[in-house]
Amino acid sequence: MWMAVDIATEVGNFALGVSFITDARPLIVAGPNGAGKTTLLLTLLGLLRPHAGRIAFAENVLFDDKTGVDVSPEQRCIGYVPQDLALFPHMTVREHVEFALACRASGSREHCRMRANRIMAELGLADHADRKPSRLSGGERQCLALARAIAPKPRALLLDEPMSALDIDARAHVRQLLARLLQAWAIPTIIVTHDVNDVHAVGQSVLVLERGKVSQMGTIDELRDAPATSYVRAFVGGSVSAASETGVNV
Amino acid sequence: MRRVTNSLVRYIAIACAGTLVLILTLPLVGLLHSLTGESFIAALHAPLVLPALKLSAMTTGLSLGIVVTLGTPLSWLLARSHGRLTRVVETLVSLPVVVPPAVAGVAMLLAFGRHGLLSGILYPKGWSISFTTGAVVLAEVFVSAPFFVQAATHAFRQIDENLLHVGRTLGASPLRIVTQITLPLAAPGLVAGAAMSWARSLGEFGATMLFAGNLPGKTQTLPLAIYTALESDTRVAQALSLLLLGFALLVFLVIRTTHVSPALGRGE
Repeated sequence: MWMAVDIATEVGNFALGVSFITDARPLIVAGPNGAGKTTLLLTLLGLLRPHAGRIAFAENVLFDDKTGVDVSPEQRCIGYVPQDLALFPHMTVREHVEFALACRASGSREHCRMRANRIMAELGLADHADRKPSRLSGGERQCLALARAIAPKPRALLLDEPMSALDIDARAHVRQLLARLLQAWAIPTIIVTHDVNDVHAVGQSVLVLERGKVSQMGTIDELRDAPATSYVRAFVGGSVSAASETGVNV
Repeated sequence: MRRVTNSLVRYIAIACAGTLVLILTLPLVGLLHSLTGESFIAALHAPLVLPALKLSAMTTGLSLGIVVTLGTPLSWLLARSHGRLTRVVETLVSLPVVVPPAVAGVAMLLAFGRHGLLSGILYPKGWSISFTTGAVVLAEVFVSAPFFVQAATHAFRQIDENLLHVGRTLGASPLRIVTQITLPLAAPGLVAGAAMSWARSLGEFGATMLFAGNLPGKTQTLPLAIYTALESDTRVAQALSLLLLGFALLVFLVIRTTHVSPALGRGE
């Protein structure tokens, strides 16, 4: 399974023009604040409409301005974990997963419940099934957002800074879990991050966005050997993640 | 000198505060004064009480149903739109809050009355809604809807849009998003708005008097029954007033309880 993206869009005064192809291996998207990373994700999800271009999953075209194809967010089957997780405060862990399953699944209630149990167990949430998000730790909330996103068996997964709100211990745990799960799921995954350690743990290739344009794309070694911009140099050197942890924008 | 000034300021503040508290509480004490349990029960057996109570229950129930059914989609649209038209519509639907009840009554007569703005369309056979039970309901909807719409719009605006976006990416239908995300999250605000709206329609007097009249069993609601009773038997008016006060306290409790709501929006 592969995903081909070639889009141009404008949000207010900000212009985004991105073109890349990614396969079932995770693609890390890095870039300074305001580079257009979240705009890119929202466009892929169908929540923002590009002015021109094409988005396709293998032979399935999701958007094409030339043929007028524009598949709605509900029909795109892309799992999404936003930066603030957007968990439903009135639902328990089980209700989150069952809600996600019910949105697409056609099986019986019992089948849905069994699948929810399996997903919760896979993400270490089985003991917290009846808890609401407010009673979970940061790492558990992250796992819940992930469980909800993958429950309907999406054909791609978009994670917006999945580790940014976690402390160092939780970050290591989620990183490990994510690396294991992404390998098992084998679907195109885009992970937005400021942290080069995420690339080492889960990423294969890196796309660096700066001012709405791709400034460099390649493996972490290629980026380290020949950084195209000062941001890329800082990112692969680890000083961007250190700065983002202390709240300094680079 | 400074200490004397500070004390003086403090005494003036206490005097002002005490005066206002007295103005607000004395009438309530007056309602309870000289009314025993037996005379309260006896007063409630007056012939005009039960029909007025039934009529008020029916009309306020109906008007609440209309306000919630029509007001919820309107509030949702107002909360999700940001244009100039939205601001104009929001101002228009809030207007009845500041319109004097008597003015509302005259306005309704001129709009929906036998010789009103829409008489040719609404009443081709000469029938008119004014001075009927329907007029009571319409008057109650007019004065109470803004309370629900304002509270509901505010409740919908508090919902983090990201939650709805995530719902859409999961493949949830618009109906599922409304019933399983939007309404449960907005529920405390909707309940509080409905309670305020119901309390306002229960106490409605001026617009009803002018647009629907004061016909026992047909348009004489509890506030109009109090007005009628005041001319013949003060005890009945007093008992009915206490009854309305009890309902008001109930609404106050509902609003206080429902407004201790779970965090809206963020899953923190």
